[in-house]
Amino acid sequence: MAKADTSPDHHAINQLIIALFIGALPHFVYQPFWVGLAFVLMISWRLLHSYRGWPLPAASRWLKVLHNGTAALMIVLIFGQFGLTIGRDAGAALLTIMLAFKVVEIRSLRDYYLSCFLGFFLVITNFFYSQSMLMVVLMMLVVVLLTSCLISVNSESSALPIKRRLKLSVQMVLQAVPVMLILFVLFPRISGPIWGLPQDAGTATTTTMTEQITLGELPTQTGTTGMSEEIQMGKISQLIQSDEIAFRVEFENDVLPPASARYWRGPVLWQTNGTVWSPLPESERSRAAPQIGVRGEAYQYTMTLEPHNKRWLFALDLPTEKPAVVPAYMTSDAELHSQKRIKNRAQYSLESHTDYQLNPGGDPNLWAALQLPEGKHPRTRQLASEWIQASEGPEQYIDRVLQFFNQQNFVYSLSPPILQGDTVDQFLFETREGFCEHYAASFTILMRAAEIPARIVTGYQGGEVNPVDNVLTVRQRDAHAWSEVWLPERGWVRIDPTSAVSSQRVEEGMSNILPSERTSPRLIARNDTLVEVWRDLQNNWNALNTAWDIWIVGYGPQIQKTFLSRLGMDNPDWRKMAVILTLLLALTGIVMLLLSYYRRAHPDPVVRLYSLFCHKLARLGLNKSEHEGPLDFAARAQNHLPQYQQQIESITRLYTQLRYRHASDALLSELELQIKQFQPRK
Amino acid sequence: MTSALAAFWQRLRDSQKQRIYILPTRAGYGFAGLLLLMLLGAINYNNSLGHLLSFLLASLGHVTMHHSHRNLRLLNVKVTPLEPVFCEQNARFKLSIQNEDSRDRYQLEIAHKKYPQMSRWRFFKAYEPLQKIAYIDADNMTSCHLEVKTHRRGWHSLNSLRVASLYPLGLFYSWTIYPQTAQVLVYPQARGKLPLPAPPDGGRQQLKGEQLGDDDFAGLRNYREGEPLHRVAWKAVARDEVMRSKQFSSPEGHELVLSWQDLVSLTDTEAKLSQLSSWVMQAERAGHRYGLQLPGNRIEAGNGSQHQHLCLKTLALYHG
Repeated sequence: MAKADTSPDHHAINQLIIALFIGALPHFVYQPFWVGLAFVLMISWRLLHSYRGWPLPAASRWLKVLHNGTAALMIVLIFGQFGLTIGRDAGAALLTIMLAFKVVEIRSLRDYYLSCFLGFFLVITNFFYSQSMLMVVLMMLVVVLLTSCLISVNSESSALPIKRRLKLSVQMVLQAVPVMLILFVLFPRISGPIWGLPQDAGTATTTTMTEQITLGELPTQTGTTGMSEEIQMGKISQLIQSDEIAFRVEFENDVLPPASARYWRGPVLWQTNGTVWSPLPESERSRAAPQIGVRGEAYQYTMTLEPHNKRWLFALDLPTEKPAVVPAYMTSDAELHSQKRIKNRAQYSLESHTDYQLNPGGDPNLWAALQLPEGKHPRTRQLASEWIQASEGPEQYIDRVLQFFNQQNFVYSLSPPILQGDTVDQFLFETREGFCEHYAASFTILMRAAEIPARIVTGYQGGEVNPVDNVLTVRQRDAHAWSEVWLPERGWVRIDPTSAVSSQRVEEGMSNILPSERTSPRLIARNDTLVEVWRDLQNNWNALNTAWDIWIVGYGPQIQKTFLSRLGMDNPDWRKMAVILTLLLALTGIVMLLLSYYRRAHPDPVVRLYSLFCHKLARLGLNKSEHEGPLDFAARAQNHLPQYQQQIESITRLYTQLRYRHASDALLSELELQIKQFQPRK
Repeated sequence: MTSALAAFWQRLRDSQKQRIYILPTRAGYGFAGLLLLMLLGAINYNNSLGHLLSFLLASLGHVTMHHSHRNLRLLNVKVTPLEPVFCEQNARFKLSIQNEDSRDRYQLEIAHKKYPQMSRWRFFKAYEPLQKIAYIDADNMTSCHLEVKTHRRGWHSLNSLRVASLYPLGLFYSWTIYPQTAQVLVYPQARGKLPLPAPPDGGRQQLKGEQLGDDDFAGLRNYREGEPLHRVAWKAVARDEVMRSKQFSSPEGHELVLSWQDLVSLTDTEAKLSQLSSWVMQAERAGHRYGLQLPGNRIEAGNGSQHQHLCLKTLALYHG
């Protein structure tokens, strides 16, 4: 095509550099420091060329060697850092660095276009790390800047100075928004991956990227609170309270269960060797569905679960059915299991009863709830046998154990001492300091030692309700463990030994146990009104983030279906979406075309009025041709319409006076009046 | 309201008269490829904002298409031919473009159809860019000169003009064709080594009448078509409304007949015409009266720029 391949000028290149720098900013945080360093060095080279006339690599062989050599070194460094498989991090680092190296040697328009396009790609790599609202602001900014870069090589700066270029690119990007939204909502979403994901693909959630760490397998002896397959007692000396969101719950009609009943059921642990607790293996598990009897009102709610790369689904204790949208099943211990690992944000609706009976008629796996490790916990067993003999039944025994926790000097602590040797005995009789897992595990052992079937249930407890949108947010720090004992006739009964020690933990939730600095900045922590204002702001912000995370970031195949059926499309599938998408796109295309024919009014009111006058004459067949001056036209019009001679002359005189001599408001309103009164007829 | 709608409808119909074509450029195809890649990446990683960016860029491409199309709409292109030229010189046209829209226009490339016989499938190659126009303000016009190298005598036409643009992002190339009838006369190239022929009888001929020239006023005679206007005796016209031209006598002048017959040494028709063209120029410069004798065509002796043009035009349009 007739496109002269001239090189872009300095202004265009500097503008591109600014756009790319902003686009690469987040990578300076996520990538090793030398990536950012190389980027800054390379773009500085180009800037020094623009402003100081420093030579570019093409200028001499040595500089070329330097440029290519550094590029090669960078590739080696990347392989050294990330290994030979190009995953997310390595890919992003490679793109960032190569882009900077490319910018230095832009010589032709082709290079320039390529750099712009790679700049667009740089923005998408940011999204693999964070999908926050801030990132969208950054995206818009970079897209506007890169668009204006493209405009700058397709127009002359004399015709379109930088300000007008930016204005035009903002205008174009804004004009692109409606179709973007239509595509975003209606483009049939496919659940990825299409091809294999690299190991570090990560699931970019809201703001944090810390991967969930399996509790109890940590060499550093610290753990992030969160869920894992099994729990290990006494090996973790300090829990890092993670504020990362585990899931969000939206209750129908805003009917929420009382705080003390907000137990979110997760994996059930049966087996123990004295320290490690784990679920029943699949082979030993009964296939029978649990028998659930319910009383009272049901709670209906929608869970939005953050990806945790495991198969379990959390539910308010106790769900009565499996979710409809996510392929899942309910195990015999009333645990909800997804068929697939939860790698993306999942959304499902459930119904739960807090007043329930679980397997009251007996449980096929009851034998497993009595299993105790051979020869362990002698002191605990001793205590249990003493107490059970003194008790009249299991209920009394349970009360006694809870009283024991409550009245002896047991302490709820997030940083308990490390337990050695027989962990349960040591905890119950010596350290007496621990968090939920310690209490749940030792309580369960005490039950089993007294021949009462018992198991540990892990999950979350509590959660914060945001008064703005009434969404309950459960964070990783709300992770909890409690016990269930099986009693004849009553079935599995939930007993939370932690509440006997620290009722605050259960009734008020985790956030109240945390020091106030954790919930509001230190500066204002002392001033109550400020704290309140801060909390309000935070609530609103959180509500916004919740909506963002669920509806924008989490907008996948599943939420698309939910959303579209809420909009009134019944049973949305990709065919229906494609049809509506096509129709809507065609419609917007037509609207845009028609809008582009809309003619902006001339800025000068005099010209506007005069064209109205011409229009009135044109209706009588008197068209003013372009080369005709207003006086000539007036003369011709007067010839045709002798009866309006005076009016035409007066209007023309006013017009020429206003347009070519001096403008005054009095004359203008006079002209307006006269043109209004001018109603020529043949 | 109805008048606004009517005006709107009128503009819509006006713009339909001029068809605008649009195709993606190589950069445009690259952009599309990038979008596809981005969308695949976003799907693969289930990245919602990745989808959002891909859709934003796709939509931006669509918006660009509209802008590109609009940049060429409602342009009124007028071409007027300028003075005749000799072959191998540049034929000049005046181009004026009126922007009839309320939006500015940018970066227009004007090309003409250089090879009209080229196959329609290679239409891009048939055009040769002539001029670039950086911008035309809203409701305004601009004009410029188009210069086209000539290679053949006769009427030189632009065939058709193509107004094209890559504006705004270089992703789309849109163009529109204006067929042209404007033509510039191309004289045969004034070239040839033969000396100006002598008067027919070989010597300095004494003419019967007065030798008409430029120098001394010799009286009035009825104006003849083709005589320069400055020779018209305007005072006499004012008296009796008969156009008369002033006659001057030029004692030095010769009456020459530049004849095809004198060019037997040249075999090629074009060479003969070039030689005649050169003679005409020389004779005019020397202030001779000269006539032209071609096969089947004869021009009586005369001089002045009108006469010169008549002679050169005859040579330019000569059909052997």
